[in-house]
Amino acid sequence: MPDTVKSDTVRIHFVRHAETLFNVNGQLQGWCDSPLTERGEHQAAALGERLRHTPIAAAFMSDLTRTRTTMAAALAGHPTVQAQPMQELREWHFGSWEGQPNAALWTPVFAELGYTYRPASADWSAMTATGFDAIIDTIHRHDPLKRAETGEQVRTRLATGLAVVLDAAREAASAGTGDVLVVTHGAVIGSMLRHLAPHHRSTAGYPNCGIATVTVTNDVVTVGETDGSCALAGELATSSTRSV
Amino acid sequence: MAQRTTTIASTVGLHARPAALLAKAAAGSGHTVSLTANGRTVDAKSLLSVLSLSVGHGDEVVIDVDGAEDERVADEIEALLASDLDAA
Repeated sequence: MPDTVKSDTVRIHFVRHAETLFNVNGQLQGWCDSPLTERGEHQAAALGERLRHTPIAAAFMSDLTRTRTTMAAALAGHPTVQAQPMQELREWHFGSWEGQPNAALWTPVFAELGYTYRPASADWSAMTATGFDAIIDTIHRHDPLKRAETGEQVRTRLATGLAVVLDAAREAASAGTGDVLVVTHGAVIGSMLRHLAPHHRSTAGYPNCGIATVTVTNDVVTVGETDGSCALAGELATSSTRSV
Repeated sequence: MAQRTTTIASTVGLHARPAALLAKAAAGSGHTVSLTANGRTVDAKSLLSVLSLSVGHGDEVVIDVDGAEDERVADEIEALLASDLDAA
């Protein structure tokens, strides 16, 4: 992939945070903070190398710890870029299920929507064929404390965050200063890509440090295949460390 | 200056292809075309700007056109947004 593009074209790289303790434990993170694992640190370092020669004009992340630490490593080769933390780019808020085992939430939500929950279920794409509101609203409805977000709340805040990102992308395209980097969360990437390119479907989800690049020209929005090489790099580095 | 108010007919809202078709039409009109929705006004020629409005299906937008044939262009843009651009 070339690392420079025409000035009337801009690329926005949506990156999922590196692996965390809650990822490994199978716990719902949402707005909770949990630290990167050793593998996650390797993934983030690989991301920094992957992006070292990519021109970065602007960078945005959620204000949660896992995206901040991932972004710090991602910008290893770009010491002058100041990443902007944004609450609007946080993961969906899971309310009462924050910190709980994944299955505690997803089993009843999948069941209500007519599916059977399994980790990394392939049914996710069918469940979200017409958008994410049904899932998010089901989570909210099941939440006894009603702290989980509604579909409308998620759409509204993500639209606010995305508008800031797109404004920066327009300025970067106009000035020819490079790409825009967004380090955020799996469900947020899915929501934002659905917004930008409604017919796009991720076939394999978004691995930790996976890069989904959106290219916007004057005429068209294109979503590339998710680059999962940094997740794999973390895997290899951890295996190598373990073998020593 | 000509102004029209319409609702977005495209089932996916003003994203991706529908937004691109609008930006292309605005750029090709030779007029100044702006779009207002959700409290923001943007240059309709910029695909990135149109996308940043986050306009959904059924949302109301205001089209402002300035130029020699602003009434004609406003009618054309209005008709464009009132059609299902995603199905076009």
